[in-house]
Amino acid sequence: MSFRKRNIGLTTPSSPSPQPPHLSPTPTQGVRPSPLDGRPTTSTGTPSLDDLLAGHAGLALGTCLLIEENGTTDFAGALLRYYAAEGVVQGHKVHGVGVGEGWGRELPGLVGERGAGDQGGEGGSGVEKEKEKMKIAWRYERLGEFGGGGATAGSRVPPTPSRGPIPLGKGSGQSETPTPAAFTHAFDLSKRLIVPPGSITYVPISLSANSNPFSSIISSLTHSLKSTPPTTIHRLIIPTILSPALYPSHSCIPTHLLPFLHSLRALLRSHTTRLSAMLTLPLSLHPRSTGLVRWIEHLCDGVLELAPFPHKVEIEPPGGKAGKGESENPQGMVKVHKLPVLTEKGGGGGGGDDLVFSLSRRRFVVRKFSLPPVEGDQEAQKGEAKDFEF
Amino acid sequence: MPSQPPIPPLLSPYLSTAPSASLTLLTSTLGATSNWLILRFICAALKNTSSEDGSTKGDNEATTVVLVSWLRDATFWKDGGRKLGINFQKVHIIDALTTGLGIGASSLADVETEILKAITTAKPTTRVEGEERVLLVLDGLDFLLAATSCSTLETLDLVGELREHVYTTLLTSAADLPLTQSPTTPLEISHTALIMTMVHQARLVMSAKSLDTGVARDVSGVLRICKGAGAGDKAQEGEGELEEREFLYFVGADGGVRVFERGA
Repeated sequence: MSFRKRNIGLTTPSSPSPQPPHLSPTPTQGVRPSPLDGRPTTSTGTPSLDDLLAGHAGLALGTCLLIEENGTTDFAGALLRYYAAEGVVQGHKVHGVGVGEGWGRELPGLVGERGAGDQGGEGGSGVEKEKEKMKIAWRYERLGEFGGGGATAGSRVPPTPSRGPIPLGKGSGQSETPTPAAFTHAFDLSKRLIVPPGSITYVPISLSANSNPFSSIISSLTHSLKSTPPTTIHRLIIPTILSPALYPSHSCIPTHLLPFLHSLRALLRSHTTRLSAMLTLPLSLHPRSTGLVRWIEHLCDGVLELAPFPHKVEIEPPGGKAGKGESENPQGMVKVHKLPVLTEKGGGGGGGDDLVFSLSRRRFVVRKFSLPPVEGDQEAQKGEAKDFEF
Repeated sequence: MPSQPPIPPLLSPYLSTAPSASLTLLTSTLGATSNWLILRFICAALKNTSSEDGSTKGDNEATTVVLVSWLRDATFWKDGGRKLGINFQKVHIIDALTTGLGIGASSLADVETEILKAITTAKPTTRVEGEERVLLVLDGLDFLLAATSCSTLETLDLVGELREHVYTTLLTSAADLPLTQSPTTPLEISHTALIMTMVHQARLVMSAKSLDTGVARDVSGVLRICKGAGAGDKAQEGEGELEEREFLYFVGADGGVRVFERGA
């Protein structure tokens, strides 16, 4: 298609106009105001986790979430990958601490809505093409919202080149949107996300014995926040903090770790429209009964604990199967210890329901569970009296 | 939820009768923070405390507040305080979270200098000499102890020194079981030492914690009010009326607080 005069297009709105929308993602992409108090929130990439966060329907910017996990499984890592993938898809700047590019290559890909995506298989070009199509779809979607007001919207908004394709995007069936809102996306763990170069910054951990292993993280993050325009959203990802596989042994010294978390908290609070963070902590190495872990929890805004069942439990979910098939069996309990914003104000954590999670190829779901677990050997259960369950 | 009075009626006797040179300790746990209570202390101190029913009639001219917070930023306090009608011209906030006061390069001596400076500037000017009252709130001093290499004794010295310069002091600390139950690591030992000493010095200890019986939708936590060991020598000053009580409280999403008795 070639260049075409735009004022001709006014008479024939259905004519295909090849003008691409803005190449750079919209600054506020993936951010929406909280229904409770209007503060900007962003998606964790896991819709049921978003729903858990005290009614804000997303992770409030300027806060961080700590996911703790018992045992040797890596369910928390899956949540972290969704969070990172969501950031990449939304054009946010993702900072991965202590992980290499291999980690970035293993981010889950978007769930394709079309058969073409599935037959593309693992072929890089196929996925890339799919992603390209997706991108266009989101743009249409956003523009569709934008132009939803019809003529009234047009009268107050100055004409932009991207307004041309709106009717086309609505009318033609080919640009089906992957999700009703571009706030969050569905990911498939068996697919791989094509990460545009530069969208993930890998922050190394300093291993030298006489320096604070965390200092590089704060300086890198501060630099990145300063060097990007104030509309860029950043996501910090810290997988398995304090795990000896990634961190030197002296990182467990409180005078190294706690000032780092304190500066991270300060950074989050001074960038309440730009930065969010998610950390995971292996509880088997650092149990919740230690003072250090308690301080880590105090310094994070939201604390969730995943307690996977020791083996596959064949409990039929009560209240009907809901026709979801075998992948919906609960794989562990979710305990909410602290919620962003709400706990800080003084409200109690959690809604009082027992929550379970299940991870399938396509999604991580947290939902209510009304039966107590048969296995009672979760070590965290003896730690806190409030975990007493009926 | 209907709008609540800024100061819950059940709590007003505890919030408004701090005698001179007293220390009040607020403890919190992970799921039950005491920030709402700090704001109500500040609110009560700034309002005219002469009225018995705790109703807020006018500003108390002679009182100002110095709030030092290591874990929360100034915006958080201002957002929460504005809803209570706190006049922030009379509250000097030291945002030790963003500035990192006492952490890293700056030492405990810097903390003392900074706070003393704030106390001097915040001291209200009154017609009557000696009537001016400064309420000092130290929020998260226990974090400083945990995250830096300063010792418990140095921290206690700091508190002692600061208390001499103000009318009354409010100190908050975390009191979770992992930090205090069976202290084994240096972190836990020094935390326990700090909190135990403060309990002995305090006139009143107010502890917020989660419900023992699980999570409930209409209860945020339990507030337990005990006399500290420091209350004993104040008994002759008419302090006897403060009763040791236990209340339930509920903090709404809008920040409004309801305090009620069990079964109410």
